[in-house]
Amino acid sequence: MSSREKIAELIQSFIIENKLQPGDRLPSERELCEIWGVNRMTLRNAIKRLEDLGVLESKVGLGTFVAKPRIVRNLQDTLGFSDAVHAAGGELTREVVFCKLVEANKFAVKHLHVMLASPVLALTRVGSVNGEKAAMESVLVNARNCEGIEEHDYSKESLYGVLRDSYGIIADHGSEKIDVTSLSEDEADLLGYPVGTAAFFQEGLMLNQEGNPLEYFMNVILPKRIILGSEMRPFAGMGEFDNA
Amino acid sequence: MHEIDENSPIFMQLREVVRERITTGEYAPGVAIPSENALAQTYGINRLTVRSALDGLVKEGLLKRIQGKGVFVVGKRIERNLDYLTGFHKAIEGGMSNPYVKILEKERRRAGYLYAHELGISPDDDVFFIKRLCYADGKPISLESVYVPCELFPNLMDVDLEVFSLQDVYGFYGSSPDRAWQTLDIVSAEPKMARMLELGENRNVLLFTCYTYRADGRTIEYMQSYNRSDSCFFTVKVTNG
Repeated sequence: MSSREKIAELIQSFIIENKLQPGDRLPSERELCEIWGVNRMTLRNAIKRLEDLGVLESKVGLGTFVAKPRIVRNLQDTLGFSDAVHAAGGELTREVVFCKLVEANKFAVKHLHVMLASPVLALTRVGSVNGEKAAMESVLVNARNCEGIEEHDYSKESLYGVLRDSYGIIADHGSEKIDVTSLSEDEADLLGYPVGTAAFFQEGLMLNQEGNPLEYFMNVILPKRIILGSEMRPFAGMGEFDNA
Repeated sequence: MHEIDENSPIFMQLREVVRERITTGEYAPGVAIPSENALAQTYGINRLTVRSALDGLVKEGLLKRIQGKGVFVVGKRIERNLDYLTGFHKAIEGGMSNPYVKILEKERRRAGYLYAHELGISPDDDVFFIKRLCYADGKPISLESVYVPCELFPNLMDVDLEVFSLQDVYGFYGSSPDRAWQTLDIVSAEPKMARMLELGENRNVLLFTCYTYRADGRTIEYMQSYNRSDSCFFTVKVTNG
């Protein structure tokens, strides 16, 4: 193990052993260097690593603090994002950037599997956790038989709620892919982060209760605010645990 | 099958001796048994005789012969026949070919407060720490640190993890994974990690953290895996209800 890793472990052990809570301040860098007999540079590198991991938070002139745990968006649970944030003790607010009924273009045909020119709801929202911008969510929804779908206020209403309550359509199941993107100029602008900041790119397709494509979504999520979680559980059948 | 006694051919007698030692656990699952030369020397027999004794056990699936490494005990796996449809699945751009794991570090150490906390054990308990580099098609894909409570897998230190996967070992010792909690984060690789993963300009790696539990709720593994973001992505299935 590198000395940076060792010191990072010492810091995390110190937090656990002394039962420090989010918001509690760590002893000064000078004190920590003395306790562990390490040089300042190594300690700073370890602190930087733990900041990157969301364990610590440095405030200029004030010191280093135990960070509040980030919101984990469990991609498995059926709670809406807003309920999930609420359950974690935070508050999600959404701002509608774009909401319009459009005719399906080539992109929508390809990803949502609808006919060219069929009605599609294009909705883009920026979600904030406790007032801090955290994610840009863009969706294309198959709006056939959903008259008036563009007239709802999606800063307050949930999309799945509207689909269910007004049109009897249920977002039933789907699959998604997660990789890393860096913020484009537009995304950086909307999220208030520098161009090129690393973010999750979450992309997928939800099907309705009949198994037909309902929603294609593309989310850009800032890992500084939200990390992604999922539970692996067994299903009866053949095969075995393959996450070696 | 007739009884093996002192009148039986030597290779058959040796076969029963080895079988017995596997049964009693003297030769532990995942661990190499003494070399053919060593056995030949110990019992004053020909190496070819040793070989034919072991061949039978290899055929039965009790032993596994690895070219250039030796002969290993294969434990009885508890097959659960489970298909894990949920959870993140790692995928490699262009498909996973020629996977290879290189063990960089393997040590037994005191858990300490941090890993005791992650594994639900006492800080004074011992853990196995394994650091490995995973390759696909000759290219490094992920750098992983794995922590496992020693108590659950006492022989893990002697297991050749380039021959058997940890999943194999868990199966041998009757601690098959039942469920796991996983998170994904994006972090910037520090210089040493960047070198090991052969990263270019793009230092962003996907950090996959996984807690694996067995059916009684005990944590059997805590893993942090740093994945190249240019060649890996994760997929997940979503089900409503």
